[in-house]
Amino acid sequence: MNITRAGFVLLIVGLILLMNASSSHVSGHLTVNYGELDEGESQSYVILTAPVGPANMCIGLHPKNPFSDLPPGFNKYDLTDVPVHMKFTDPNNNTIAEKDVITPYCFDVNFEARGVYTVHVTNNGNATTTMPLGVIFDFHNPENREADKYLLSIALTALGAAITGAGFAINFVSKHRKQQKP
Amino acid sequence: MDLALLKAEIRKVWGRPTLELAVGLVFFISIATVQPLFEITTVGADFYSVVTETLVRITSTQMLPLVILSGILVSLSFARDYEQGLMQTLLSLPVSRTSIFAVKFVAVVLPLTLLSWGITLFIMVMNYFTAASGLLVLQVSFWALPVIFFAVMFYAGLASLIALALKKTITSTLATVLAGFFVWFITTLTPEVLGPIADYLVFTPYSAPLWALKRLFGTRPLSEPGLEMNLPPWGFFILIIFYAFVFLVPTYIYFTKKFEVKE
Repeated sequence: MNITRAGFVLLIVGLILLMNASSSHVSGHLTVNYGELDEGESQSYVILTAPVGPANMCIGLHPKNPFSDLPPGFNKYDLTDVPVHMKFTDPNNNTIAEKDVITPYCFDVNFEARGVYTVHVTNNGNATTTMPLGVIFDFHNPENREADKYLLSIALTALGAAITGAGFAINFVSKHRKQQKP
Repeated sequence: MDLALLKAEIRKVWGRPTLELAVGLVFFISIATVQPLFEITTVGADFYSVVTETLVRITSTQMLPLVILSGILVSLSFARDYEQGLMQTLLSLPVSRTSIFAVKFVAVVLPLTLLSWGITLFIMVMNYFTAASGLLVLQVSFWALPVIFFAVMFYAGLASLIALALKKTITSTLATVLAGFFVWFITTLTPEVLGPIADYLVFTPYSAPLWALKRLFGTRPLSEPGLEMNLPPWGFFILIIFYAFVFLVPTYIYFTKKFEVKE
């Protein structure tokens, strides 16, 4: 395979990746809830994520289900104003935030690295409660695109374009030289 | 196998714009199926299921384009050479028929498998490679290689049989594409249409490679578990190896013993 073709293949891959990675694929509100938390009990959530940028994380914010006829607070374990201790760590196990808060508690986070973020929550209240964890992204915010993939796509596109250009130039020069030779 | 012949065949089959189109098509389809990594679980839940489910999804999406591509390329390789008279030249060379058959087959199957697996590996590494999960991603992605290889071998075997039987480029290419679509189409039929026989569709050449991966990784079935749970992962691997050779062996025997070029 000559250099022009190799560059062109790289350019195709880069452009397709750029098309995919230049827009945000995480948008809106995602909430998960795993069982109930007794008094003094702790729970850990694991967030497996790409570097998708800024978001708003909420501990103990119960989602409203518009498709359900159940009134808010129907579940006796969906309590608010519960004192909890929270700890948020990044993929390198560095603590980003650790404090005592009252639910629902929302705070800004920035997912800068690909990997596993962890949220530890301890129920310091005097009743059993569910403890949902929600992550809210802006709708189609370009800042929420996958940063590393976007950079890689730009690098591949630029490299592909450069190699293709170099290939064309080499071909042109070698043809020109051949024509000049008697 | 004659290496010079193989090199020439690869250059002929994968000439411009076949490689570019194949890379573009397979990469576009694969990347479109992968969601960005964003999942909230508990500590007990692991990274493994996320990685394996994505690998199965990528392989599953790639299957139909690979079926069509391998079919077209093999039938072009055999039937076009026959129509253009190149087959007669090849058979008159001091090279055995086994070598010619192997060269024509390998020139399509090997690059197509490597292309597909390379793209799968690239996407998996790009999405899931971290310091903690790197080895897992590589180990899981490795299994796509034999599965894709045997699946492509099956369709290439079918395509070579059709091409050698029909001997016309356009006719054999169309017949191969139709055969590929048919093999895919029957797997989409539901028990309401087919009745109880639909349970056996997991053992068809299109579904078996995907079920080999799913059973190997223990992926959660989307619906009620069926007959696929009765066959262990290695059973599915034996089945796809059987499929890989089911058309290849008779085609090879026909090509080496009976095949003649008519003036």
